[in-house]
Amino acid sequence: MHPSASDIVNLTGTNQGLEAPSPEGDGQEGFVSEGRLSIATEFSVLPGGAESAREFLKQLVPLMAGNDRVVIDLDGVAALPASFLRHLFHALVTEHRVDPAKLADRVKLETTDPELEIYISMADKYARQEAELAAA
Amino acid sequence: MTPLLLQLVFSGLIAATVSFLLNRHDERRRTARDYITKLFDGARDDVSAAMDAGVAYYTGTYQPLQKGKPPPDNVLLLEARLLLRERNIRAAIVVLNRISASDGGGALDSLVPLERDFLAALTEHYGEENPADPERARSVVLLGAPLRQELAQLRQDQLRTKSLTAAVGRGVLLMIAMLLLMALSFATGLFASLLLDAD
Repeated sequence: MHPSASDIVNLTGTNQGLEAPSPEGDGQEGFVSEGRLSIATEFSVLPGGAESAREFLKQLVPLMAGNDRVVIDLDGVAALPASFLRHLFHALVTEHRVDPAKLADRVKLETTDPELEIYISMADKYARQEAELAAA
Repeated sequence: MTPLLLQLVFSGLIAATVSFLLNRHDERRRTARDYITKLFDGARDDVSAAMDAGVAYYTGTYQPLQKGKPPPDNVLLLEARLLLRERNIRAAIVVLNRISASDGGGALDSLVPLERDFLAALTEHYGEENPADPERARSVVLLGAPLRQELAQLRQDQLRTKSLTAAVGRGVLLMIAMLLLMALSFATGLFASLLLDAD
């Protein structure tokens, strides 16, 4: 069962950060749990900018708290403004305290549409930027 | 039928066939070349149009709607245009990649970082309350220009490689035709002399 959004706020508030659930102690070491979220079907076919990213986080963050990795499915999306991706990754690091070095591993973008593949490259760039900013 | 007449008929047939094949090959190649060049030019135009839309968006030429007048370039219109242009570029580059690969032109990998950076600059501040900033407009132009340049360069490289390959192919085809002509000419002569001997 995934934690509720209020659990996440508590986690963030206690400065523990949005850690992936640890496999230790449950006898499943090495197992990577994966959640999936389709932007087009579960959020919007045409997401907007920063405000839209904040709305999307309300769905993404609980899923991240319950899984080691979340795959964001881009199929069906008409366009994904760069401001959406930039704010999404920035907020995950600054507001939800996701380790920037693990950001690219914890949030993966996927698509079967060649037209949308450029967004994967864009997301990698923003994840890398966040990691570099944190390292600096 | 005399051996000379047989030789003339066969030679004529071979020449006509080779000429037909070469012309058809040339025509197909020319049509494909022009079509792909047009696609590249179209993609460059799409980038140019996106640059214009980006500059309009980030220089903040927003006007309110006025009753009885056609809709001016207000912010919603500019946002819609921005996304439309962005989508056009994505679609155009996917088509170029597909056609280039099937035409033997190889993958256009060098476009990926340029496309990504340009599209990022184009929509990086999309939907913000006040996206207007001359610096953002400048970066749209600065990142759009190399993408247009790379598209032109890639096509030029493809055409250079293609014309060399085509010239070699044409030479080989002509050589094969000549050999065939000689072989058939020889065979016809042989066949005719056998016929004469039999008589």
